[in-house]
Amino acid sequence: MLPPEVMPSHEATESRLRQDLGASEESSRELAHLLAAWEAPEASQADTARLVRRLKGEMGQAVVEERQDFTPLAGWLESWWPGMLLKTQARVVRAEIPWASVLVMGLGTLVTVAAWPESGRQPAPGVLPLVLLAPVVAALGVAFLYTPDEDPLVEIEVAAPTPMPLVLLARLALVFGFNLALGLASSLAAAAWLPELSVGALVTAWLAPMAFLTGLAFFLAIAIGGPGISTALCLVLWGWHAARGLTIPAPMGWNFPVLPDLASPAAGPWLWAMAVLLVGAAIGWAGGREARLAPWSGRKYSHED
Amino acid sequence: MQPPSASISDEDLACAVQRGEMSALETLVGRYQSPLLGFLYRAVGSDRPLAEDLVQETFLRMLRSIHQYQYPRPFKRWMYAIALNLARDHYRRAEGKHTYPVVDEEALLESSREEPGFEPQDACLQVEAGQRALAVSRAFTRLPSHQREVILLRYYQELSLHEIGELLSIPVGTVKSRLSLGIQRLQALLAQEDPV
Repeated sequence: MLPPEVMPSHEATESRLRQDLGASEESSRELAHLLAAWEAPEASQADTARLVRRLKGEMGQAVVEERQDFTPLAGWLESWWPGMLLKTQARVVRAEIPWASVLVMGLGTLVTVAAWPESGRQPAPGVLPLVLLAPVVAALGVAFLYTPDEDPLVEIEVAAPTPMPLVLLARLALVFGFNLALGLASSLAAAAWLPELSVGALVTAWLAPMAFLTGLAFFLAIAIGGPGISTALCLVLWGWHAARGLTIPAPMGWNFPVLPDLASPAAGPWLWAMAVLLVGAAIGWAGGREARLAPWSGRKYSHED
Repeated sequence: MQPPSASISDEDLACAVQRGEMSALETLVGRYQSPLLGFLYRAVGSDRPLAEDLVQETFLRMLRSIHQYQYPRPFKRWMYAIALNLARDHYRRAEGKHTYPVVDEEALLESSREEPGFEPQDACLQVEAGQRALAVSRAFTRLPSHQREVILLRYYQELSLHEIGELLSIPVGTVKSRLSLGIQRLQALLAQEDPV
Protein backbone atom coordinates (compact mmCIF):
# COMPACT_ATOMS: atom_id res chain seq x y z
CA MET A 1 0.00 0.00 0.00
CA LEU A 2 1.11 3.58 -0.67
CA PRO A 3 2.58 5.55 2.24
CA PRO A 4 -0.11 7.85 3.75
CA GLU A 5 1.63 11.05 2.61
CA VAL A 6 1.25 10.16 -1.10
CA MET A 7 -2.26 8.69 -0.88
CA PRO A 8 -5.01 10.60 -2.68
CA SER A 9 -7.15 12.65 -0.32
CA HIS A 10 -10.72 11.66 0.54
CA GLU A 11 -11.42 14.80 2.49
CA ALA A 12 -15.03 14.15 3.55
CA THR A 13 -14.39 10.61 4.80
CA GLU A 14 -11.18 11.63 6.54
CA SER A 15 -12.94 14.45 8.31
CA ARG A 16 -15.72 12.11 9.46
CA LEU A 17 -13.23 9.57 10.73
CA ARG A 18 -11.41 12.24 12.71
CA GLN A 19 -14.67 13.61 14.07
CA ASP A 20 -16.21 10.23 15.00
CA LEU A 21 -13.21 8.28 16.18
CA GLY A 22 -10.69 10.95 17.09
CA ALA A 23 -8.36 9.33 14.58
CA SER A 24 -5.06 11.00 13.74
CA GLU A 25 -4.63 12.69 10.37
CA GLU A 26 -2.37 9.92 9.15
CA SER A 27 -4.55 7.01 10.21
CA SER A 28 -7.73 8.68 8.98
CA ARG A 29 -6.11 9.23 5.58
CA GLU A 30 -4.99 5.61 5.42
CA LEU A 31 -8.40 4.35 6.45
CA ALA A 32 -10.26 6.64 4.07
CA HIS A 33 -8.00 5.43 1.28
CA LEU A 34 -8.82 1.82 2.09
CA LEU A 35 -12.56 2.47 2.26
CA ALA A 36 -12.47 4.35 -1.03
CA ALA A 37 -10.90 1.34 -2.73
CA TRP A 38 -14.25 -0.46 -2.63
CA GLU A 39 -16.02 1.43 -5.36
CA ALA A 40 -19.67 0.87 -6.12
CA PRO A 41 -21.34 0.97 -9.53
CA GLU A 42 -23.43 3.94 -10.60
CA ALA A 43 -26.78 3.68 -12.31
CA SER A 44 -26.61 4.44 -16.03
CA GLN A 45 -29.24 6.45 -17.91
CA ALA A 46 -30.56 3.19 -19.32
CA ASP A 47 -30.89 1.79 -15.79
CA THR A 48 -32.81 4.89 -14.71
CA ALA A 49 -35.12 4.76 -17.74
CA ARG A 50 -35.83 1.07 -17.07
CA LEU A 51 -36.65 1.73 -13.42
CA VAL A 52 -38.90 4.67 -14.24
CA ARG A 53 -40.81 2.53 -16.76
CA ARG A 54 -41.28 -0.16 -14.11
CA LEU A 55 -42.54 2.39 -11.58
CA LYS A 56 -45.00 4.05 -13.95
CA GLY A 57 -47.60 1.27 -13.64
CA GLU A 58 -47.38 1.33 -9.87
CA MET A 59 -47.70 5.11 -9.86
CA GLY A 60 -51.01 4.85 -11.72
CA GLN A 61 -52.50 2.71 -8.94
CA ALA A 62 -51.27 5.11 -6.26
CA VAL A 63 -53.00 8.03 -8.00
CA VAL A 64 -56.29 6.16 -8.35
CA GLU A 65 -56.27 5.38 -4.63
CA GLU A 66 -55.59 9.02 -3.79
CA ARG A 67 -58.44 10.35 -5.95
CA GLN A 68 -60.90 7.86 -4.48
CA ASP A 69 -60.05 9.24 -1.05
CA PHE A 70 -61.04 12.81 -1.88
CA THR A 71 -64.42 13.24 -0.19
CA PRO A 72 -65.87 15.90 2.16
CA LEU A 73 -65.38 13.44 5.01
CA ALA A 74 -61.69 13.17 4.11
CA GLY A 75 -61.43 16.96 4.15
CA TRP A 76 -62.93 17.14 7.62
CA LEU A 77 -60.65 14.39 8.88
CA GLU A 78 -57.59 16.29 7.61
CA SER A 79 -58.27 19.09 10.07
CA TRP A 80 -58.29 16.83 13.13
CA TRP A 81 -55.09 14.89 13.91
CA PRO A 82 -56.63 11.62 15.15
CA GLY A 83 -58.81 11.81 12.05
CA MET A 84 -55.75 12.40 9.90
CA LEU A 85 -54.06 9.40 11.49
CA LEU A 86 -57.11 7.22 10.83
CA LYS A 87 -57.26 8.49 7.27
CA THR A 88 -53.62 7.72 6.52
CA GLN A 89 -53.98 4.26 8.02
CA ALA A 90 -57.23 3.62 6.17
CA ARG A 91 -55.18 3.90 2.96
CA VAL A 92 -52.85 1.19 4.19
CA VAL A 93 -55.54 -1.30 5.22
CA ARG A 94 -56.18 -3.65 2.32
CA ALA A 95 -59.23 -2.55 0.37
CA GLU A 96 -60.51 -6.09 -0.10
CA ILE A 97 -60.89 -6.68 3.66
CA PRO A 98 -63.99 -4.51 4.25
CA TRP A 99 -65.62 -5.80 1.07
CA ALA A 100 -65.02 -9.41 2.08
CA SER A 101 -66.39 -8.64 5.56
CA VAL A 102 -69.55 -7.09 4.11
CA LEU A 103 -70.06 -10.06 1.83
CA VAL A 104 -69.58 -12.70 4.52
CA MET A 105 -71.70 -10.89 7.11
CA GLY A 106 -74.42 -10.26 4.53
CA LEU A 107 -74.51 -13.96 3.65
CA GLY A 108 -74.45 -14.86 7.35
CA THR A 109 -77.47 -12.65 7.98
CA LEU A 110 -79.34 -14.18 5.04
CA VAL A 111 -78.59 -17.73 6.20
CA THR A 112 -79.63 -16.84 9.76
CA VAL A 113 -82.97 -15.55 8.51
CA ALA A 114 -83.51 -18.36 5.98
CA ALA A 115 -82.65 -21.15 8.43
CA TRP A 116 -84.82 -19.79 11.24
CA PRO A 117 -87.42 -22.48 12.16
CA GLU A 118 -90.97 -21.34 11.58
CA SER A 119 -92.18 -23.36 14.53
CA GLY A 120 -90.79 -25.51 17.30
CA ARG A 121 -87.74 -24.94 19.46
CA GLN A 122 -85.82 -21.80 18.59
CA PRO A 123 -82.01 -22.02 18.49
CA ALA A 124 -79.93 -20.22 21.12
CA PRO A 125 -78.30 -16.99 19.84
CA GLY A 126 -74.84 -18.53 20.36
CA VAL A 127 -75.27 -21.01 17.49
CA LEU A 128 -76.77 -18.66 14.91
CA PRO A 129 -74.61 -18.26 11.76
CA LEU A 130 -74.54 -14.49 12.23
CA VAL A 131 -73.18 -14.83 15.78
CA LEU A 132 -70.62 -17.44 14.74
CA LEU A 133 -69.40 -15.37 11.80
CA ALA A 134 -69.13 -11.89 13.35
CA PRO A 135 -66.10 -12.58 15.62
CA VAL A 136 -64.16 -14.56 13.04
CA VAL A 137 -64.76 -11.98 10.29
CA ALA A 138 -63.42 -9.23 12.57
CA ALA A 139 -60.43 -11.36 13.63
CA LEU A 140 -59.45 -12.18 10.05
CA GLY A 141 -59.66 -8.50 9.12
CA VAL A 142 -57.36 -7.60 12.00
CA ALA A 143 -54.94 -10.44 11.19
CA PHE A 144 -54.33 -8.83 7.78
CA LEU A 145 -53.83 -5.28 8.99
CA TYR A 146 -50.11 -5.72 9.50
CA THR A 147 -47.78 -7.74 7.27
CA PRO A 148 -44.18 -7.45 8.45
CA ASP A 149 -42.67 -8.29 5.06
CA GLU A 150 -44.42 -5.47 3.22
CA ASP A 151 -44.90 -3.00 6.03
CA PRO A 152 -42.07 -3.24 8.58
CA LEU A 153 -42.57 -1.34 11.82
CA VAL A 154 -39.39 0.68 11.45
CA GLU A 155 -40.53 1.99 8.07
CA ILE A 156 -43.87 3.04 9.55
CA GLU A 157 -42.04 4.92 12.26
CA VAL A 158 -39.62 6.62 9.90
CA ALA A 159 -42.35 7.64 7.45
CA ALA A 160 -44.82 9.05 9.97
CA PRO A 161 -44.42 11.44 12.92
CA THR A 162 -46.77 9.34 15.04
CA PRO A 163 -45.39 6.72 17.46
CA MET A 164 -45.68 3.34 15.84
CA PRO A 165 -47.81 1.71 18.62
CA LEU A 166 -50.34 4.49 18.02
CA VAL A 167 -50.28 3.78 14.30
CA LEU A 168 -51.06 0.12 14.97
CA LEU A 169 -53.81 1.07 17.43
CA ALA A 170 -55.33 3.34 14.79
CA ARG A 171 -55.42 0.46 12.31
CA LEU A 172 -56.96 -1.81 14.94
CA ALA A 173 -59.60 0.82 15.75
CA LEU A 174 -60.44 1.18 12.05
CA VAL A 175 -60.92 -2.52 11.39
CA PHE A 176 -62.60 -3.30 14.71
CA GLY A 177 -64.86 -0.25 14.40
CA PHE A 178 -65.86 -1.22 10.89
CA ASN A 179 -66.68 -4.79 11.93
CA LEU A 180 -68.52 -3.59 15.01
CA ALA A 181 -70.72 -1.39 12.83
CA LEU A 182 -71.19 -4.24 10.39
CA GLY A 183 -72.17 -6.64 13.19
CA LEU A 184 -74.67 -4.15 14.59
CA ALA A 185 -76.19 -3.54 11.16
CA SER A 186 -76.46 -7.28 10.53
CA SER A 187 -78.05 -7.88 13.95
CA LEU A 188 -80.59 -5.09 13.36
CA ALA A 189 -81.40 -6.52 9.94
CA ALA A 190 -81.83 -10.05 11.31
CA ALA A 191 -84.00 -8.80 14.20
CA ALA A 192 -86.13 -6.79 11.78
CA TRP A 193 -86.85 -9.95 9.78
CA LEU A 194 -87.32 -12.18 12.81
CA PRO A 195 -89.36 -10.50 15.56
CA GLU A 196 -88.64 -13.46 17.88
CA LEU A 197 -84.97 -12.45 17.94
CA SER A 198 -83.83 -9.80 20.42
CA VAL A 199 -81.14 -7.41 19.15
CA GLY A 200 -79.70 -7.26 22.68
CA ALA A 201 -79.33 -11.04 22.93
CA LEU A 202 -77.77 -11.22 19.47
CA VAL A 203 -75.25 -8.47 20.13
CA THR A 204 -74.38 -9.87 23.57
CA ALA A 205 -73.68 -13.24 21.96
CA TRP A 206 -71.07 -11.95 19.47
CA LEU A 207 -69.65 -8.74 20.95
CA ALA A 208 -67.33 -10.09 23.67
CA PRO A 209 -66.11 -13.02 21.52
CA MET A 210 -65.45 -10.53 18.72
CA ALA A 211 -63.34 -8.36 21.04
CA PHE A 212 -61.41 -11.39 22.32
CA LEU A 213 -60.77 -12.94 18.92
CA THR A 214 -59.76 -9.56 17.49
CA GLY A 215 -57.30 -9.02 20.35
CA LEU A 216 -55.88 -12.51 19.80
CA ALA A 217 -55.50 -11.97 16.04
CA PHE A 218 -53.83 -8.59 16.64
CA PHE A 219 -51.39 -10.03 19.16
CA LEU A 220 -50.49 -12.99 16.97
CA ALA A 221 -50.11 -10.87 13.82
CA ILE A 222 -47.67 -8.51 15.54
CA ALA A 223 -45.84 -10.77 17.98
CA ILE A 224 -45.56 -13.89 15.83
CA GLY A 225 -45.44 -11.99 12.57
CA GLY A 226 -47.86 -11.93 9.72
CA PRO A 227 -51.42 -12.93 9.01
CA GLY A 228 -50.83 -16.62 8.26
CA ILE A 229 -50.35 -18.01 11.77
CA SER A 230 -52.74 -15.48 13.26
CA THR A 231 -55.51 -16.48 10.86
CA ALA A 232 -54.90 -20.19 11.29
CA LEU A 233 -54.94 -20.11 15.10
CA CYS A 234 -58.05 -17.93 15.26
CA LEU A 235 -59.85 -20.21 12.82
CA VAL A 236 -58.90 -23.33 14.79
CA LEU A 237 -60.00 -21.77 18.09
CA TRP A 238 -63.25 -20.44 16.72
CA GLY A 239 -63.91 -23.61 14.73
CA TRP A 240 -63.60 -25.55 17.93
CA HIS A 241 -65.97 -23.17 19.65
CA ALA A 242 -68.48 -23.46 16.79
CA ALA A 243 -68.27 -27.25 16.87
CA ARG A 244 -68.85 -27.12 20.62
CA GLY A 245 -72.10 -25.26 20.10
CA LEU A 246 -73.27 -27.58 17.35
CA THR A 247 -74.23 -31.14 18.11
CA ILE A 248 -71.46 -32.77 16.10
CA PRO A 249 -70.18 -36.11 17.40
CA ALA A 250 -66.63 -35.61 18.61
CA PRO A 251 -64.15 -37.36 16.28
CA MET A 252 -61.66 -39.75 17.85
CA GLY A 253 -63.03 -39.12 21.30
CA TRP A 254 -62.24 -35.37 21.30
CA ASN A 255 -64.33 -33.52 23.79
CA PHE A 256 -65.48 -30.24 22.22
CA PRO A 257 -67.25 -28.98 25.37
CA VAL A 258 -63.87 -28.75 27.13
CA LEU A 259 -63.75 -25.20 25.76
CA PRO A 260 -65.92 -22.80 27.76
CA ASP A 261 -68.95 -21.37 25.99
CA LEU A 262 -67.48 -18.13 24.68
CA ALA A 263 -70.88 -16.80 23.60
CA SER A 264 -72.44 -17.03 27.07
CA PRO A 265 -73.00 -13.74 28.91
CA ALA A 266 -70.97 -15.10 31.86
CA ALA A 267 -67.86 -15.34 29.67
CA GLY A 268 -68.19 -11.71 28.55
CA PRO A 269 -66.13 -9.94 31.26
CA TRP A 270 -63.33 -12.51 30.96
CA LEU A 271 -63.23 -12.16 27.20
CA TRP A 272 -63.08 -8.38 27.42
CA ALA A 273 -60.28 -8.59 29.97
CA MET A 274 -58.36 -11.01 27.75
CA ALA A 275 -58.90 -8.73 24.75
CA VAL A 276 -57.47 -5.73 26.61
CA LEU A 277 -54.50 -7.78 27.82
CA LEU A 278 -53.75 -9.13 24.35
CA VAL A 279 -53.93 -5.70 22.71
CA GLY A 280 -51.75 -4.25 25.49
CA ALA A 281 -49.22 -7.06 25.05
CA ALA A 282 -49.14 -6.53 21.28
CA ILE A 283 -48.59 -2.79 21.68
CA GLY A 284 -45.93 -3.37 24.33
CA TRP A 285 -44.21 -5.83 22.04
CA ALA A 286 -44.30 -3.39 19.16
CA GLY A 287 -42.97 -0.59 21.39
CA GLY A 288 -39.83 -2.49 22.37
CA ARG A 289 -39.16 -3.37 18.78
CA GLU A 290 -35.50 -2.57 18.14
CA ALA A 291 -33.95 -5.80 19.32
CA ARG A 292 -36.57 -7.80 17.46
CA LEU A 293 -36.48 -5.78 14.28
CA ALA A 294 -32.79 -6.47 14.03
CA PRO A 295 -32.49 -9.77 15.88
CA TRP A 296 -29.34 -10.64 13.97
CA SER A 297 -27.71 -7.55 15.50
CA GLY A 298 -28.55 -8.65 18.99
CA ARG A 299 -27.37 -12.18 18.32
CA LYS A 300 -24.00 -11.02 17.19
CA TYR A 301 -23.38 -8.58 20.04
CA SER A 302 -20.37 -9.56 22.05
CA HIS A 303 -18.87 -8.33 25.30
CA GLU A 304 -16.91 -5.82 23.25
CA ASP A 305 -20.12 -3.97 22.41
CA MET B 1 -45.75 20.18 -16.70
CA GLN B 2 -42.37 21.67 -15.77
CA PRO B 3 -39.86 19.16 -14.40
CA PRO B 4 -39.17 19.78 -10.71
CA SER B 5 -35.98 21.77 -10.28
CA ALA B 6 -33.03 20.70 -8.19
CA SER B 7 -34.02 23.20 -5.52
CA ILE B 8 -37.18 21.30 -4.58
CA SER B 9 -36.68 19.25 -1.46
CA ASP B 10 -37.12 15.50 -1.38
CA GLU B 11 -40.02 15.97 1.03
CA ASP B 12 -41.85 18.28 -1.38
CA LEU B 13 -41.23 15.81 -4.18
CA ALA B 14 -42.69 13.01 -2.03
CA CYS B 15 -45.84 15.11 -1.57
CA ALA B 16 -45.96 15.62 -5.34
CA VAL B 17 -45.68 11.84 -5.81
CA GLN B 18 -48.63 11.47 -3.43
CA ARG B 19 -50.57 13.71 -5.81
CA GLY B 20 -49.54 11.51 -8.72
CA GLU B 21 -46.92 13.73 -10.39
CA MET B 22 -44.76 11.41 -12.46
CA SER B 23 -42.03 14.04 -12.98
CA ALA B 24 -41.52 14.21 -9.21
CA LEU B 25 -41.04 10.45 -9.09
CA GLU B 26 -38.52 10.66 -11.93
CA THR B 27 -36.59 13.32 -10.03
CA LEU B 28 -36.53 11.16 -6.90
CA VAL B 29 -35.31 8.21 -8.95
CA GLY B 30 -32.59 10.42 -10.38
CA ARG B 31 -31.53 11.51 -6.91
CA TYR B 32 -31.67 8.17 -5.15
CA GLN B 33 -31.01 5.39 -7.64
CA SER B 34 -27.22 5.61 -7.64
CA PRO B 35 -26.78 6.19 -3.88
CA LEU B 36 -29.11 3.28 -3.12
CA LEU B 37 -27.37 1.09 -5.69
CA GLY B 38 -24.06 1.86 -4.02
CA PHE B 39 -25.46 1.17 -0.56
CA LEU B 40 -27.15 -2.08 -1.48
CA TYR B 41 -24.23 -3.25 -3.64
CA ARG B 42 -21.95 -3.00 -0.63
CA ALA B 43 -24.58 -4.32 1.78
CA VAL B 44 -25.04 -7.55 -0.19
CA GLY B 45 -21.38 -8.26 -0.90
CA SER B 46 -20.72 -6.63 -4.29
CA ASP B 47 -23.51 -8.48 -6.11
CA ARG B 48 -24.64 -5.93 -8.69
CA PRO B 49 -27.67 -7.77 -10.19
CA LEU B 50 -29.01 -8.44 -6.70
CA ALA B 51 -28.38 -4.83 -5.66
CA GLU B 52 -30.24 -3.59 -8.76
CA ASP B 53 -33.21 -5.82 -7.91
CA LEU B 54 -33.23 -4.48 -4.36
CA VAL B 55 -33.08 -0.88 -5.59
CA GLN B 56 -36.15 -1.51 -7.74
CA GLU B 57 -37.89 -3.17 -4.79
CA THR B 58 -37.01 -0.19 -2.59
CA PHE B 59 -38.70 2.21 -5.00
CA LEU B 60 -41.71 -0.08 -5.42
CA ARG B 61 -42.17 -0.38 -1.69
CA MET B 62 -41.85 3.39 -1.30
CA LEU B 63 -44.46 3.94 -3.97
CA ARG B 64 -46.88 1.36 -2.55
CA SER B 65 -46.83 3.06 0.84
CA ILE B 66 -46.37 6.65 -0.34
CA HIS B 67 -49.70 7.61 1.24
CA GLN B 68 -48.25 6.67 4.60
CA TYR B 69 -45.52 9.29 4.23
CA GLN B 70 -46.29 12.40 6.25
CA TYR B 71 -44.68 15.73 5.46
CA PRO B 72 -42.15 16.91 6.68
CA ARG B 73 -40.61 13.62 7.82
CA PRO B 74 -37.16 13.29 6.21
CA PHE B 75 -37.67 11.36 3.00
CA LYS B 76 -34.05 10.25 2.75
CA ARG B 77 -34.27 8.43 6.08
CA TRP B 78 -37.40 6.63 4.92
CA MET B 79 -35.77 5.46 1.69
CA TYR B 80 -32.75 4.16 3.57
CA ALA B 81 -35.01 2.45 6.11
CA ILE B 82 -36.69 0.57 3.28
CA ALA B 83 -33.39 -0.31 1.61
CA LEU B 84 -31.91 -1.40 4.92
CA ASN B 85 -34.85 -3.68 5.65
CA LEU B 86 -34.54 -5.26 2.22
CA ALA B 87 -30.83 -5.85 2.76
CA ARG B 88 -31.58 -7.37 6.16
CA ASP B 89 -34.24 -9.62 4.64
CA HIS B 90 -31.63 -10.77 2.16
CA TYR B 91 -29.23 -11.64 4.98
CA ARG B 92 -31.97 -13.34 6.96
CA ARG B 93 -32.82 -15.54 3.98
CA ALA B 94 -29.14 -16.29 3.41
CA GLU B 95 -28.77 -17.26 7.08
CA GLY B 96 -31.84 -19.47 6.83
CA LYS B 97 -30.22 -21.36 3.98
CA HIS B 98 -26.91 -21.44 5.87
CA THR B 99 -25.28 -19.64 2.98
CA TYR B 100 -23.72 -16.26 3.48
CA PRO B 101 -23.38 -13.50 0.92
CA VAL B 102 -19.99 -13.84 -0.68
CA VAL B 103 -18.02 -11.33 -2.64
CA ASP B 104 -18.08 -11.85 -6.40
CA GLU B 105 -14.29 -11.70 -6.70
CA GLU B 106 -14.09 -12.17 -10.47
CA ALA B 107 -16.58 -9.40 -11.16
CA LEU B 108 -14.91 -7.08 -8.72
CA LEU B 109 -11.44 -7.55 -10.25
CA GLU B 110 -12.87 -7.37 -13.76
CA SER B 111 -14.62 -4.09 -13.00
CA SER B 112 -11.29 -2.51 -12.07
CA ARG B 113 -10.02 -3.33 -15.58
CA GLU B 114 -13.07 -1.78 -17.20
CA GLU B 115 -12.47 1.72 -15.88
CA PRO B 116 -12.62 4.41 -18.58
CA GLY B 117 -9.20 5.36 -19.85
CA PHE B 118 -7.63 2.09 -18.82
CA GLU B 119 -4.08 1.78 -20.13
CA PRO B 120 -1.97 -1.38 -20.09
CA GLN B 121 0.77 0.41 -18.17
CA ASP B 122 -1.80 1.04 -15.45
CA ALA B 123 -2.32 -2.70 -15.16
CA CYS B 124 -0.30 -3.12 -11.98
CA LEU B 125 -2.03 -0.23 -10.28
CA GLN B 126 -5.42 -1.48 -11.43
CA VAL B 127 -4.74 -4.98 -10.16
CA GLU B 128 -3.57 -3.54 -6.87
CA ALA B 129 -6.71 -1.39 -6.59
CA GLY B 130 -8.90 -4.35 -7.47
CA GLN B 131 -7.25 -6.54 -4.85
CA ARG B 132 -7.60 -3.80 -2.27
CA ALA B 133 -11.30 -3.48 -3.10
CA LEU B 134 -11.65 -7.22 -2.79
CA ALA B 135 -9.93 -7.23 0.58
CA VAL B 136 -12.17 -4.43 1.89
CA SER B 137 -15.36 -6.04 0.63
CA ARG B 138 -14.38 -9.44 2.07
CA ALA B 139 -13.59 -7.83 5.40
CA PHE B 140 -17.01 -6.11 5.37
CA THR B 141 -18.85 -9.39 4.89
CA ARG B 142 -17.13 -10.68 8.02
CA LEU B 143 -18.20 -7.74 10.16
CA PRO B 144 -21.24 -8.15 12.44
CA SER B 145 -24.17 -6.70 10.53
CA HIS B 146 -24.92 -3.98 13.10
CA GLN B 147 -21.39 -2.63 12.68
CA ARG B 148 -21.38 -3.08 8.91
CA GLU B 149 -24.61 -1.09 8.61
CA VAL B 150 -23.40 1.96 10.52
CA ILE B 151 -20.07 2.06 8.67
CA LEU B 152 -21.77 1.83 5.28
CA LEU B 153 -24.29 4.53 6.18
CA ARG B 154 -21.70 6.85 7.68
CA TYR B 155 -18.66 6.60 5.43
CA TYR B 156 -20.18 5.58 2.11
CA GLN B 157 -23.65 7.11 2.20
CA GLU B 158 -22.52 10.13 4.24
CA LEU B 159 -25.48 10.17 6.61
CA SER B 160 -25.07 12.18 9.81
CA LEU B 161 -24.78 10.41 13.16
CA HIS B 162 -28.22 11.75 14.06
CA GLU B 163 -29.75 10.41 10.84
CA ILE B 164 -28.24 6.98 11.43
CA GLY B 165 -29.51 6.97 15.02
CA GLU B 166 -33.02 7.80 13.86
CA LEU B 167 -32.87 5.27 11.06
CA LEU B 168 -31.76 2.43 13.32
CA SER B 169 -33.74 3.62 16.37
CA ILE B 170 -30.63 3.79 18.50
CA PRO B 171 -29.00 6.67 20.42
CA VAL B 172 -26.20 8.64 18.77
CA GLY B 173 -23.82 7.30 21.42
CA THR B 174 -24.56 3.76 20.29
CA VAL B 175 -23.95 4.78 16.68
CA LYS B 176 -20.55 6.11 17.69
CA SER B 177 -19.62 3.02 19.66
CA ARG B 178 -20.67 0.75 16.79
CA LEU B 179 -18.59 2.86 14.40
CA SER B 180 -15.59 2.76 16.66
CA LEU B 181 -15.74 -1.00 17.29
CA GLY B 182 -16.63 -1.68 13.67
CA ILE B 183 -13.68 0.27 12.34
CA GLN B 184 -11.34 -1.43 14.82
CA ARG B 185 -12.63 -4.82 13.74
CA LEU B 186 -12.42 -3.85 10.07
CA GLN B 187 -8.79 -2.83 10.49
CA ALA B 188 -8.03 -6.13 12.22
CA LEU B 189 -9.74 -8.07 9.44
CA LEU B 190 -7.88 -6.10 6.78
CA ALA B 191 -4.62 -6.81 8.53
CA GLN B 192 -5.49 -10.53 8.37
CA GLU B 193 -6.40 -10.17 4.71
CA ASP B 194 -2.96 -8.65 4.14
CA PRO B 195 -3.99 -6.37 1.28
CA VAL B 196 -1.42 -5.40 -1.28
